[in-house]
Amino acid sequence: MEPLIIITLVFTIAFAFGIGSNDETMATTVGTGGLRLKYAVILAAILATVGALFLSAGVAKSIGTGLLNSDSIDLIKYQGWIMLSVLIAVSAWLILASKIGAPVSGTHSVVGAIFGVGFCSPLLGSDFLSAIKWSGLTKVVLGWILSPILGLGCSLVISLLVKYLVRRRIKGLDGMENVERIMLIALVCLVSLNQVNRAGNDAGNALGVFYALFDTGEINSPMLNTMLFIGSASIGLGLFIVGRSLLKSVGKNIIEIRPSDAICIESSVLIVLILSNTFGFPISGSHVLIFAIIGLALIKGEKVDKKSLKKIALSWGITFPVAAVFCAGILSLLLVLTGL
Amino acid sequence: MGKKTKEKKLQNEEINQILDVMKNSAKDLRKLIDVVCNKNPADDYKADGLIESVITAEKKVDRLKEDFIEKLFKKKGFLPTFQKMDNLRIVEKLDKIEDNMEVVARFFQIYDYNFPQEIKDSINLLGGEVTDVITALTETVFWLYKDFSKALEMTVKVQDERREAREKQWDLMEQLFTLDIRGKDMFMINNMIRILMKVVDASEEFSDELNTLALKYLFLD
Repeated sequence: MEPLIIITLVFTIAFAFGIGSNDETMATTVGTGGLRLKYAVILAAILATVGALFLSAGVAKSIGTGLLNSDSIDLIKYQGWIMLSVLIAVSAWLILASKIGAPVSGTHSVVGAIFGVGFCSPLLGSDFLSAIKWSGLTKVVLGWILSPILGLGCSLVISLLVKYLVRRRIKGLDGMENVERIMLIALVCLVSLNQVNRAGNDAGNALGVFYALFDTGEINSPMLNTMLFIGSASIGLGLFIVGRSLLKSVGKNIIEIRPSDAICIESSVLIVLILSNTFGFPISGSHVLIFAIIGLALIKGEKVDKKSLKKIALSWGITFPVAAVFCAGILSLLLVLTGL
Repeated sequence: MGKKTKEKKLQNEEINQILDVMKNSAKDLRKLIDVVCNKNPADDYKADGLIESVITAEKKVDRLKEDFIEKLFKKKGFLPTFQKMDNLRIVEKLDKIEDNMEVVARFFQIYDYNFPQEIKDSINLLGGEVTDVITALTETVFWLYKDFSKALEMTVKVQDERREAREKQWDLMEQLFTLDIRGKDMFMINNMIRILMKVVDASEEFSDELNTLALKYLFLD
């Protein structure tokens, strides 16, 4: 096996680790205090591993190389290096963002990194404008617009329904406690389902690399299965090792969340994800979740923690440029070092 | 257990018990004042028993409060922080009122005095009002857990009872100042009125907080 393939495999595992570390699905459950952080992290890690292992095959993606213009860049010659640069850049950014507790979009990071490849187009025998398939970028722009609208809209509707159909009918503190107890059980079930689903979906980005290498004959079937297992476990491991700060930051810092609130948020996320999968909207799960929390806060008339929101908004804003700059730097370095 | 019996109980056993203990304690205090006002040497043992009962009740409420706090923070967190804090405050305030009742009991333990006939009825009436205020307050707490609207109604009742108690206090004071008694006794009776009214005032103050809580939960979200 070529050294480049081995390095690519290693960084794909790192990418999977990064995806896991930036998975904030369990955040709302942690926010309610219904599951302690350590148990939430363990449960999320197990569910994410299961989801990645069994649900990712159908959604395996080619980490954005479809955004590059093959007429302009010799992808046969450079694809391996491009893929490696994207993997390194995106993994580094995802892990860094998770460490500071910022939920960022994996897809946006990948597209940003591919945009960074465009910066290196002179080294790839092309030019910036023709290297990128510009139509592909509309996906990111659409995602920026659709995720907040859908997340906020859906959360506003569900929160209103819960307010008038459930909360307004509660009579006393005992009734409130009973409702929240039932909601907590429903929440854990819903979030577990979301976790398996989301991990399976997100894992497609990372594990797709293994399928691509299998398709080109670089790795055989037993090797593919081993790598899929290691990759899936890395997602769980990323969530377990780095993900806790993100879960805490999203779950506890923005507003105070009760199980009934978390149900509103999680059902909004689930509905939007189902809609996006059905109609092919390019949305970001992280963005939907944050805007669902904002929608809920609006209905409850509660103030959101502006400091946390600013941090999240900033991380969203810089995801694209940071991934692009990271990737451009890494690719340039690799191309210079290998003399390609 | 029938549905009706279940309705009469709160989910939290400690709060249930605290309310029961307080209601009984208020009744004991009422009986104690009655026994003291109608002083009869043969009834001394009754007064001692009632004093002991109120003091024991205070200790019991203390223990229940500790158990409650331990449970509250150990419990899985489906209760949001503000609700936990409100629960904590409710129990702490109930404990404070029970402490005030204990002070009244201890007062009668050290002040063995035969009240003048002219003010006995008024003292009895004031004692009755103190019991009524505490009973209304425990009902308010009960309804806060069962029905916020009823809790709001009950807070109005506490305020009415407190107003009555205040009237009785001034009636008693008026009568007291017309009496020709020793300065020490005047001071002690005045003190007794003050500590009885402290129970009433603490109850009213807590009832105001319960009113705010009931409104908060009624219009929460």
